[in-house]
Amino acid sequence: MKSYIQTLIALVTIVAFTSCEDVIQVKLDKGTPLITIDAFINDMRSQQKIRLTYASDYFSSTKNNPVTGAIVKIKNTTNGQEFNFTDANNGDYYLNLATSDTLGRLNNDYQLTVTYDGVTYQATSKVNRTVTIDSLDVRFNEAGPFGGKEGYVFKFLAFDLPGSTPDLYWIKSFKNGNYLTGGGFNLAYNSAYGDGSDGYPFIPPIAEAITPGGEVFQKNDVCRVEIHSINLPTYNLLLQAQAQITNSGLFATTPENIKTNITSSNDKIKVVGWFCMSAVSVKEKIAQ
Amino acid sequence: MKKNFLFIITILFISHVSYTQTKHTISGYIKDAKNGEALIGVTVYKKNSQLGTVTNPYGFYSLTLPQGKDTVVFSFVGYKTILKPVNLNSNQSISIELSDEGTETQEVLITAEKADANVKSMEMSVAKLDIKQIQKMPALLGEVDIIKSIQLLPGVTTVGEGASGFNVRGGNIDQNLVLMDEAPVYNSSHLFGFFSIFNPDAVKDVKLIKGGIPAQYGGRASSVLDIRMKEGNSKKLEVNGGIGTIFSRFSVEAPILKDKASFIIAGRRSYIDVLAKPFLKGDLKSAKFYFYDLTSKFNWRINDKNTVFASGYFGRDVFGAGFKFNWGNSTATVRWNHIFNSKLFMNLTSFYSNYQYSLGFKTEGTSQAFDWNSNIINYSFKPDFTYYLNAKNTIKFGAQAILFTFKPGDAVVTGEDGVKSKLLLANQYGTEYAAYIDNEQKITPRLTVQYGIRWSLFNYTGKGTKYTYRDTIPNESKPLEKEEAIAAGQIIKSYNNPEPRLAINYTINDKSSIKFGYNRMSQYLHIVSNTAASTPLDIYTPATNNVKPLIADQITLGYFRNLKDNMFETSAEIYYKDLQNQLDYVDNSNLLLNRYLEADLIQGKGRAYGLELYVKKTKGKLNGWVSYTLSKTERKVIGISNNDWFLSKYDRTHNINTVLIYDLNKRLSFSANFLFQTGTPATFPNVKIELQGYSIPYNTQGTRNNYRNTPYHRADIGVTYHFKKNETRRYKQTLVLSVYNVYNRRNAFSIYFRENKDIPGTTEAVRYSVIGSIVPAITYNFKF
Repeated sequence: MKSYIQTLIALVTIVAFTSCEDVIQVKLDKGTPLITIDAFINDMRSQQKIRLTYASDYFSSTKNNPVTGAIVKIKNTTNGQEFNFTDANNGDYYLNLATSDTLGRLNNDYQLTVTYDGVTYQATSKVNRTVTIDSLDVRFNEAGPFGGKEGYVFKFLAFDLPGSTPDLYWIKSFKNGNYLTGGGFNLAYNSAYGDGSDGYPFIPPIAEAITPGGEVFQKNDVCRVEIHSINLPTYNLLLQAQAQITNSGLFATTPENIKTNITSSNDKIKVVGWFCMSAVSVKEKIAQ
Repeated sequence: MKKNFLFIITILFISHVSYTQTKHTISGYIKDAKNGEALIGVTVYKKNSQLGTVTNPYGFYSLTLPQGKDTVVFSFVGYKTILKPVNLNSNQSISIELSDEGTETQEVLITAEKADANVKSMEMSVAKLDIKQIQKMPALLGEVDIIKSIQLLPGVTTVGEGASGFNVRGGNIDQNLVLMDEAPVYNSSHLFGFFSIFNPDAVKDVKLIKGGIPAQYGGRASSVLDIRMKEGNSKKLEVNGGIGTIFSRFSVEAPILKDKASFIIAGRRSYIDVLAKPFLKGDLKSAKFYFYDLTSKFNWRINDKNTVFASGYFGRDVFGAGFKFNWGNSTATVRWNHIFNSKLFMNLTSFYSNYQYSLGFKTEGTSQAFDWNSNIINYSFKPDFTYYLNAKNTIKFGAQAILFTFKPGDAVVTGEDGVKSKLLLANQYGTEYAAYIDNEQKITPRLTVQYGIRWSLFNYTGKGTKYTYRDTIPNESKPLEKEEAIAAGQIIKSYNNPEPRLAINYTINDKSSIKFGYNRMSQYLHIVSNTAASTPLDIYTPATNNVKPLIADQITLGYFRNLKDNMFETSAEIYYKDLQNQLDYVDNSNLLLNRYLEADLIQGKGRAYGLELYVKKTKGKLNGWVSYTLSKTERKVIGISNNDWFLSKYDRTHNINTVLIYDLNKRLSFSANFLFQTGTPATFPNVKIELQGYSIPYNTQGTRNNYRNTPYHRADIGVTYHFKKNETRRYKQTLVLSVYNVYNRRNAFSIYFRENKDIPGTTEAVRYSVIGSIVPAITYNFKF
């Protein structure tokens, strides 16, 4: 919705005005140390990763410092199975799943435990159901002054799963295996953005956002779409994070600190981060 | 306190029953001899005395004077003063037509009032703008704009260019009662906030009341913007028009029955879309972007005692390109002026006001679509009476009933199979009732007091759902406890508030006075908006069982002085305003199409205080004003910014406005504006955190509005050229050239933080300027 309004603003300002953006120097206060835990885990058999970093001063030119030497594990509290993640010494902690094991079981509850410097950080999440992608549609887009680049654009067709509790999805798309981050988080609450859209096909702004604005596919490029099931707090978190990442223009919202669902065993030591378990459905298609 | 107040009122009313001298009343309407328009604010007084009055917004006056032969003076700046001998032996009806001085001087006058009216009148914290002057000020893209002109007055701010509405003395944009011929307007902007919806060709009078608000007004917390439309020339056909950079304007006014009935129809339409059409390709071939408005009014003077007015406004902004997005106001007002006797005047208003918007999109070649409609509808009935008791007391009383229907959202999703499903948010209903009485009393020749009380009652009613929420930790969405279906008409929650009003004017001498004002205002609806500038999609919520009404108390003290034979008007005012139950939002609130919206709303306190200095030069070739405002506006909301006071988003410590107009000769006039304003407060991060590959700004202190954007300053210039008039014809032409943002300042609307696109992991601060260059414009106007 917001992107539609922004398109509109862009259109109007191009025609009528000369709005502009300039990178400027701003002096900001120093922050206090803060650990960030980034733990989005899914049921795919590919390598799963949790990342631990320190927040850095906003304008620091280096990447955020990694947190190394932590003990990271996930426990399936429904059946008691534990999964230990391996420290790669660069802030990443990996899990290479044994072929006999399954990490993301539908409707099972999971608990994340990170132990570092005498403090235990914990969070829980459940694996929700996801939808099957019926098909990917592709068409050729002609170039135009405002109409984007010339090339192939994709959209997906899928029906939201009917049911009284809302289903929430995070739709990711990839070009030749590279994650397309340009469009931000493509999220759906049922088939649209809220109540009442239960059981319908995903609405065009969501279905078409797998080809983010300014992006096109060339002939024989592979488009891969993943629909990750998430939960309502995660949906809200990603919306909130999205708003902070691109908080520009006339209708910018008041900046907020993103929420966290991870608790710290020590009140004095703050943590920010998120833990979410997802089920994923996948579809691929070649541009032609 | 309340009892004492009523007691004082009673005493004051009784105190003037003791007159014994025989008196008679003269009354009537005062109009412009040229076009028959009622003249507002004409001074009518007994020669060489303090006994006088001014005409009301319908041009009516009533003055009670002692029996005998006398001379009554009718005086209005820019018009020839009339001295009328009267023999007061009975009540008399005297209607007058004033003719303008016909000299060039009238063109340069800022206000068409008695020269020392600002010192003598009860009104304080009031700004009147003359439409002739607004037309000369340089404007963005040459479009004469009432709202933009108001933003140049002391005590008025905006969050920036392109933002809709205006902020008065620390009040949010929804706290202004914007009245167009007595009907409220909910969104006063075209194209977000770039242009206002009022067609200058149809506007007669503009008055902004910031403090000491009289009891006849209510329903909004901070200010009243009272806009009166022209009635239409009742003498002869008049056509006005113009071709501007954005709009083309055209208006026609004419008598239907000479001096008895007339009409005006005025329309505007933007035409960027027409000009841009050849350049659009592909999806945008069908792009739509235009806005228009139509204003019309009809009046009929049935006889000396009865006049009826019917006026209507309809305006829309339409955008679309694969999607559609449009919004607009429509209002319809019918009024009846009735004179019961020479002392009792009534205006009966009934109006309908509808602010509606819709958003939708459709996939080409399929039946898939999404359509969303929302609106707020008012029906109101409002009798207002003025009783001109005697030369010392003018009593106003009246009542109002407003029926509100809020339609927060009605969305229809059409599937691939053509099956429609509704995402319906239930309508909300409310009724507001109010009654008021107020007396303006001249206690001594130097001391005048206006005191009154308004009582308002609001019922939030069914048919609807009553939501009950449990308390939670502050700044979290409240969990739902229960939902109850409420039958139509059943009261869910009721609020009522007495609203005392007081204004005191102590005239020190002919040139100076001290004024004091107090008002309490209650407001039973809130705009729901958490964005920097309000969007046309913002909905309004009534006061409910979960949302309390807004209450504002304001005190104002001012000193007014005129210098050099009223050539300069100066004033200094201080104010303090206390606000209760201002709306704020929990973090990550969902304000659109959310049934459980109320769970995301929190309310807090506000306070605003400041000093306003104002100097206006009213005569001569060079005229205009300079104003300076020093102010602070803060909020305190439990759960936000560590529960401390924080600056509101429209706080500007220093605000300097300069407007200058120089009339070189009959043909040429120049104008210039200069503004300097402290930057608006902003929330900046101090660290970045890493999540899913993105760098996200974060503030470890958790404080809101901890920084400020860079100061805003700008200068504009304009030139108006009057073509040589052909004396035999009535055709008049002017050409207006204007340059907005002369020295090409890139003012920050906001500063935001983002990751550098090319160097991942590095972050930067970006200044967003709505207007980033010089904006020249040319407008051609004609009149015959």
